[in-house]
Formats: sequence, structure tokens, C-alpha cells
Amino acid sequence: MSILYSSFGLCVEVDVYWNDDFQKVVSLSCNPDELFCDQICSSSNSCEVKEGICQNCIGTSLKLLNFFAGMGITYKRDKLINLASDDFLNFFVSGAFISLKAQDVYNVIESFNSIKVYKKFESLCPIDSWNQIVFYEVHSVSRELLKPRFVYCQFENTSEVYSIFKFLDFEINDRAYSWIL
Amino acid sequence: MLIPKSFAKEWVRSEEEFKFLSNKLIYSNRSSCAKKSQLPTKSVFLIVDNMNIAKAAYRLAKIRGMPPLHVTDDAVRVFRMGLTKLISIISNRLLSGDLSLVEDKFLSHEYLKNNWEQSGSMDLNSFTSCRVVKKLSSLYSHLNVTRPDHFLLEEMAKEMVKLEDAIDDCQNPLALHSPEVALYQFDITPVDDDFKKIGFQFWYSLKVYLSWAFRFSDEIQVLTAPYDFLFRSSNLEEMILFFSNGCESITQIQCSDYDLNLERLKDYTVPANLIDFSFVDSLKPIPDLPVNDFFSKPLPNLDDDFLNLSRFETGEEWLQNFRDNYIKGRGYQKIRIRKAFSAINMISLATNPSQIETKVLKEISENTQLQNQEIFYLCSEFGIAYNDLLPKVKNDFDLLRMNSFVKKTFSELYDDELVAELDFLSDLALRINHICKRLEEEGFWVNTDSFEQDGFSPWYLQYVRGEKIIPTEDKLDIYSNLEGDFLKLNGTTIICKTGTHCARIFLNSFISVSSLAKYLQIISPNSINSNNMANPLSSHMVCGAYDPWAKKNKMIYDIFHDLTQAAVFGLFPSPVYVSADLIPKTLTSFSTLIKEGKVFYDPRYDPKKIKLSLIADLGSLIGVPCAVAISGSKLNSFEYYTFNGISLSGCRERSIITTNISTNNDLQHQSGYHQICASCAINLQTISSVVSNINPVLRFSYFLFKGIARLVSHLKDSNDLSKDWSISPLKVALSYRYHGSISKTCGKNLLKGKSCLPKKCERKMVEEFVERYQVSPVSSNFKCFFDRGEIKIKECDQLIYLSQRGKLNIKTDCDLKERK
Repeated sequence: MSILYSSFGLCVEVDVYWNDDFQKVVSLSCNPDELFCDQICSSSNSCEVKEGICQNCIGTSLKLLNFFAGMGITYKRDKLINLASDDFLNFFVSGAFISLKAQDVYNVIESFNSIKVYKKFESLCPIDSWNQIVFYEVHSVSRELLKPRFVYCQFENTSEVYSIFKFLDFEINDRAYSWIL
Repeated sequence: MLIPKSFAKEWVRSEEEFKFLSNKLIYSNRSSCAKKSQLPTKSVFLIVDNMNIAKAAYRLAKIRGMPPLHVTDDAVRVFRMGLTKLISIISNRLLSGDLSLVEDKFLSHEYLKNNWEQSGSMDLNSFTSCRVVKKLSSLYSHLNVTRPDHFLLEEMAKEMVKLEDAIDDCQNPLALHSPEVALYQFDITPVDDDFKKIGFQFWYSLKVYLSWAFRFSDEIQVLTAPYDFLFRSSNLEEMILFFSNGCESITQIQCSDYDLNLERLKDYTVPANLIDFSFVDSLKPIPDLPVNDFFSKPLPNLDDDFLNLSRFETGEEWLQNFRDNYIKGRGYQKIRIRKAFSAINMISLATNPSQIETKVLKEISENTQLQNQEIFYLCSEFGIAYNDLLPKVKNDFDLLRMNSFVKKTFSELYDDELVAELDFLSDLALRINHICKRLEEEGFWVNTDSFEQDGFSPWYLQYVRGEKIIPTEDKLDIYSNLEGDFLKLNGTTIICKTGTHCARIFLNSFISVSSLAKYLQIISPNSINSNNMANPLSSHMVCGAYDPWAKKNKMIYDIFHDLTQAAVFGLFPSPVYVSADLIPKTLTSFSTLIKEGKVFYDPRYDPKKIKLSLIADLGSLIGVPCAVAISGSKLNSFEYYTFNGISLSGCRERSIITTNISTNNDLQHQSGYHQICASCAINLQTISSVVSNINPVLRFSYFLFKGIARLVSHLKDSNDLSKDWSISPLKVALSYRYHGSISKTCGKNLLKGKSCLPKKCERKMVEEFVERYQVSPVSSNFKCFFDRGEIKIKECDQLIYLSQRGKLNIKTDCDLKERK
């Protein structure tokens, strides 16, 4: 279990696990004065959000191959996100997302417990983070992968959520170009 | 009668086995198999590669702290049973009309959901049977044998005694053998005779609904609990492949790269220790056009075991080998396409053709040996890719602009439609070729011998120098001996060392994309793949590379020609005359001749009536312009043998022509035709009774005999005239039970669809009896003069009396159980 402090100094605890029915669940625990859980599931202190299926995530789709290959290289964290922002709230409430962790059922490409994969997830967060969780947007009906949107980073005393962007910082003939996609 | 040992066992152990063995095995020769490829199959194989399911289940168990091996085994078992059950459910619903067939390519989730939810009321009906194929036994010999002999039939009988070693029930929870792969056989029993019309639509619909129902139906959640969430998140389309069992097809293929490449997945059935990946076309830097294959290689021989079935003991071993080869090939292709897409995306984002040109010009001006070597590679590669004399590469780039699947895939990854990138390449090529032309004019290439040749891109080495390229990952990179960091990503990753390097990478990446464009839908499917790889002629057929009717048409042309020659001599009265300017090897069907105005009619007859009766007479055999008849026997004036619309009748006198005319069932050997009795006529039975005894007009008969002799020799050809042999495994088993072996004579009977019981009436009655009741005969004794006999069965101690007066009468006190 990890603790997620919003930028307003409130805290939300986040966990992702597979329940007894072998379904993936994102669990949130909020401080009583934190509105996030209330906004998500109309409960003042905790929410259990069952993830929907993730179409073709157990496989070797080009999209997943591309994401895993580009983590930390072309896919990077961007802004620190305010949980109360509409962006994140709407994203979460829509349910049109799946979560990805370093040790995940949805990664059948790399070997389980691969240090390489841990490093890739670490590279999305600031130094000294662990238990990174990527929230990947999916289509609300077909549940096909769309875009990696947020990354959750846990630290010793705090947690943060960042948006993910695709960065291409080029240097050509000593001149620099940056592409944010 | 001495009871052979084979009687000790049950004839057929279960109703399921009975159902499986009731399916006739059809052995076809090349011509017949080719024709059948245009018909929908009723039996398919399903290849399942559940490696990713196993990996996911293993990870899930680890995450939840459960015993991983146990969970993995359990999940794989549930997955397989659920998947095969779902296929049966969908098939039954489609065949009963409960679920509507679909045709369109793009069907919405809502449409499929709605159709699905309205079906399900008739789920108790079963038109499908499913088997795990454990052993590629002689029960599958129709896949690599065209005509079974008695040795093969005996082997088949022996294997049927131990059928449990060869097949298993799909719903048997203990049927899990290999954890990675499984091979299944699905047989369907269509309700009505319209299956020929709707068969292809049925299989297409099955695949569409399977993709949907596997993820979204309530049934899959029940069938695969508790793992349903896991399975529904898997890439099903990547894991399974259907292919037809035999000559008939599951998919009505077109002569397109996609379909032909799907058919060529059979290349991966070669044993791993023998396969040479550098010869696998889809893995070449620039694959050949699949149709080129047809013209560069001889026609496939169906006895050649092109699926390599006989090289493996079990179905699983065969499939494991196929899977390993396929995964290796597909993995390489995926890496290749991903690298190419990524390079195209990055280079086109970071720079532009003008920048690369400037950099290349700067590198040329440095004029070092190393630089010049790189320029040599650059100019050679761009020169070939954009050489008008070799338009293939450039044409492929143009085709990419129209390839929606490639554009869609690229756009999903990079939000871009690959149009600007193609423009980038064209612009870059213009600039590079301009530079190279100027260099040539300036005498830059005077001494090309001093340049090394090994650093070319693999596509160039293959395409221009005909080198064999082993597909390995390191062959995907364009090496440059130069140092530099012309284009760097995120401060660390060097994309191109120099301008020259960048231009070559960009071109090479597009060559990869255009090469793989034809395979992308196979390696990264968005729908379930299926092919007809058990019939190598299906591709030849759709592309017009093989015409199973050609031989017959040629033969018919010849006889027709001879016939008209005979007609010229006034041998027989015919209401139809044919113009003499027929061109050999052109289509000579009556319908064509009529349309082309080459058939003339005797003014005494009404042409309309002739035309009508002609068409009525020939019916679907419109490709057959005439029938041949030999008549005039003193003993038997009308003895007809039919061969696909051609009839021969003959007289039995001195043996001059030995015919070996085949019906669809078997060869019928006849000898004793006497040329003097022969006649030939256009077969217009309704209007011309021209089969007449022409004896003794020998000199005029010359053309007829020539034609008949030629016809006979053509009919002897074993490959190019359609022949089928239909074997009933049940009758093979019954015959073996009686004799303990299959003799040569018995083999011939079985080929004709008959079993080999001692007496004719015994055969008829016992066959009907055992097929109607769940019994295993132990002995029988019949008196055919009275059409009656007695039979003893394993299930009852008393004798059962059978007699036949029109229908089979049974007199017994035994409690006989009827078959379902």
C-alpha cells in the first residue's frame, strides 16, 4: 500500500492487486477530508475500482512492444498532476484505463522479475521511487490500448502522479529540437 | 466361422467415436483437390498456441503467491476447454440459424452484441464435433496420400482399435499434454444442403463472432471462470489459426498477397533442424511476389507430404515445431517493422531532406577514402531503389500510400499516416540521385573496383547480388564505419552517425515497411487468421496458375476436333456443325462456341430447341462439349460407363481398346471393345439418336478411333483428371474385425465404398444393423439365397436374426440400443 499526497497536502493511498476472482482492482484509500474517493465512488474513505479487460494486452502487439521499448527513452514523465484536476478525475471515473506495473500479467514479452523492466518503470519516475504504476488509457468499449497517460510514483514518505508524454529530444548537427507528442 | 482375435474388442467404443468415424475420408488427386478448393469445407483444424496464456497465468500465480505451476496448468486447461466449447456454441448457433451469418468486414460491437444476445435458445442442438488430435495417424492420411492402398487401410484399422491414442475429447480435462500448443479438429454437420452456398460465410461468421464472444459474451465468463478476465485480455487472434482439413477450403481466397502469404505459413512446418530461414520468403529483405512461386516451381504433388506430417510422431510435436518456427519468423518480422517504423518516425521528425542533403554534400567535400566508400553505398542503393528499369522497389513505395493497414498501424503508434514520410523519401531520393548523377559526371566513380562491397544493406545484397541473407536481428541495422553523431535522440541514443548513414537508414526502413506490408495483417492480426494450407493447389487455382479442367478441355477439344473431322466425312447425322477455325487450347465448351457463333445448326432443326436441349443435356458440365459413345455390340448395344459427362458404350468382341475409364468412385476396368463397333456422337440424346452401328465404314472411322484412343490415354492420367476415393473408417473397422487384416481385394472393395464381409447380403444387412444400433458384432452367418442370416453381438448372448425384404427386419430378444 502506498500513500499519494495531492498537491493540496491531502493524501490518498493507492494499490493495484488481483482479487480472489482473478480480476485486477485499483484500490484507493482517502483521508476523511480528502474528496478524491468521494468523487470517484461516493465514499469518503476508500474506493475499489475494478479494471475492465485490456484487449490484446496478453500478447505481443506492436503497441505494447513499442511502449515497453520506449519507456524512459521516448516515453517520459511530464507534469506533476493535481489529483483534483478534471483531467485525472475524469480519466479515473471513466474507467477507460488499465494499470501496468513492473511485475505484471500484461507483460509477457520480458521475463518475470526482469531487472530491465524494473529499470524501465523506475525511469518514468524521479529517483528513489518504487512501485511505479502506469495508467494507460483504453477505448471505453473495445478496451483497446490508446495512450499511456499517467504514472504513479511512490516514495518513502510521499507519492506523486505525473502525466506521461512522448518526448523526442533531438540533437542534429549540434542544434537541438524537442518534440512533445 | 473362425472368429478372429479382432472380435475380442468392441467395434466402436462410444457414440462420440462413432460420430467421428462416420466422417468419410476423401482422398483426391491433384485435379480433384484443386477443384475442391473452391468448395467450403466441413472439417477444420484449429491450431492453438497458448504460450502467452501460460505465461500470464504463471505471473498471476506469482503475484498472488499461489503455486505457479499448478495455476498455469489449470489455466491452460480451462482456456482450451473454454475456447473449444465456445467455438462449438457459435457453430451450433450459426448452423441452426439461431445466430445470423455476417458478411461485412467492419461490424460494430453493438451489432454483434445484439445478434449474440438474441441467440442461444437452441443451444441443445449439436451440429459440431470436436477432437483433440493427439497423433497424426493414418486417419489423417488424406492430407498426404492421394490414393490409399490396402496396407494403409490396414494400418488405419489397427489404429482405430486404439483410437484413444490418436484422438481425445476436447472437453476431457485430462487431455492436456503439451503446455504450449494444442491441435484440434472440428467437424460440422450442416442442417441443409445449402452449405455449399453459405459455407464460406459460415466460417467467416464463426471467426468474427469468436473474436467478439471470446471477449464480451456472458458465456465465456461462465466457461472460463475464474480465469475469464485474464483470457479476455489476451490477444486471441495472435494465438489461433484455423486451417481446412483436406482439399476443401475454409476461406475463399483471392489472388492477393495477403491470402497467398497466409497459405505459405505451411513453410514453417519443415522440421526445425532442416528449415533454412534464408529461404523463407517472408523473411527475405525483399520477398518475392508470392505468385512467382507458382511459376518458378513445378506443380505440387499431393503425395509429397508438403505439411511434413510424416516427419512427426504426434500432432503436438508437429504443432510445436510449426509454432517454434513461426514464432521465430514472426518475432524477427515484428522487430524489423518496429525498428523501421521508429527510424522513419524519428528521422522525419528530426530533420528534413534538405538538411540531409547538405550534410551529405559536406561529407563528399571531405573526400576521405572512408567517406567515399559510404557515398558509394549510398548512391548504389538509391540508384537501384529509384531506377526506372527496376521499378519494383519504387512501385512498392507507391503501393504503401494505398495500404490502409500499414497506415493504420503506423498511425496508432505515431499519430501520423505515413504520407509525409513517403513524401520525405521521394524528396530525399531526388536529392541523393541528383548528387550521385553529378558525381558520376565529375568522374567520381572512375575506379569503383577500389570500393568494398560487403557493407551494402541486406536488401541490396539480396536484390542486386543475389546473396542469401540469414534473417538475424543484426542484419536490420545499416552499419557505417564512420564516426559521428549527426542525429542524436534524448542526448544519448545515436540515430544516424552521418548524413549518408541517415539517408541509407531511411531508405532501408522503407524497404522493410514495404516488404512487410504484405505480412503485417498476418504477424499482427486484427482478425482470426485461417488458411487452406492442407491444399497447396488452392493458391494456384485462384491465381489461374493451375486449371484442373485444362486437361479435360484439351482432351475434349481433341475428341471434338476428331469428331467434326468425322462429321465432314458424313459419318453420322448431326444437327450441329462446328466451324473449322477452332484454335487449339482455347476454351471449347459448347456455351462458348454458341456465344461465339461457331456452332451451326442443320436448317431442318430449330436452333433454339437445340440450344435448350444442349444446355439441359450438359447441365453443369457445360465445359464438356460432347459425349462419346461406342456402340454396336451384338451382345450389348448400350453399355454405358460414365465419366464426368462423357459416356462410353461398347461392344464386346476382339480386344482392341482397353479402357481404364474412371467414375468418381473407382476405376472400372473394361476390355474387349472392338473398333469396328465404335461410334462417336455429339451427345444430344433428345434430338439426335446418332449412336448407330457404323460398321463397316472403317476408312471413315479413322478420326473417331483416333479420338477415342486419345481420350483413353488421357483418361489414364492419374493427376490431371479428377479422381476421388471415399473411405468409410467404420467400414474399414468392420472389415478388419471380420478378417483380422485388410487384403488387396478387400482394399479395392473399401475404395469402392463397400466393406469386406463374406457375403454380399451379409455385408448389406450387417452394415445397416451395426450403424443403427450400438452393437459390436462377434460373428455372423448368412444365407443370401434367402436374404437372411444370424448375427451374434458382444452385448447379448443370444443370436439375432436378420432378414431383408425391402427393409431390414430384426428378430431378437436382446435389448438393442439405438444410435443417436
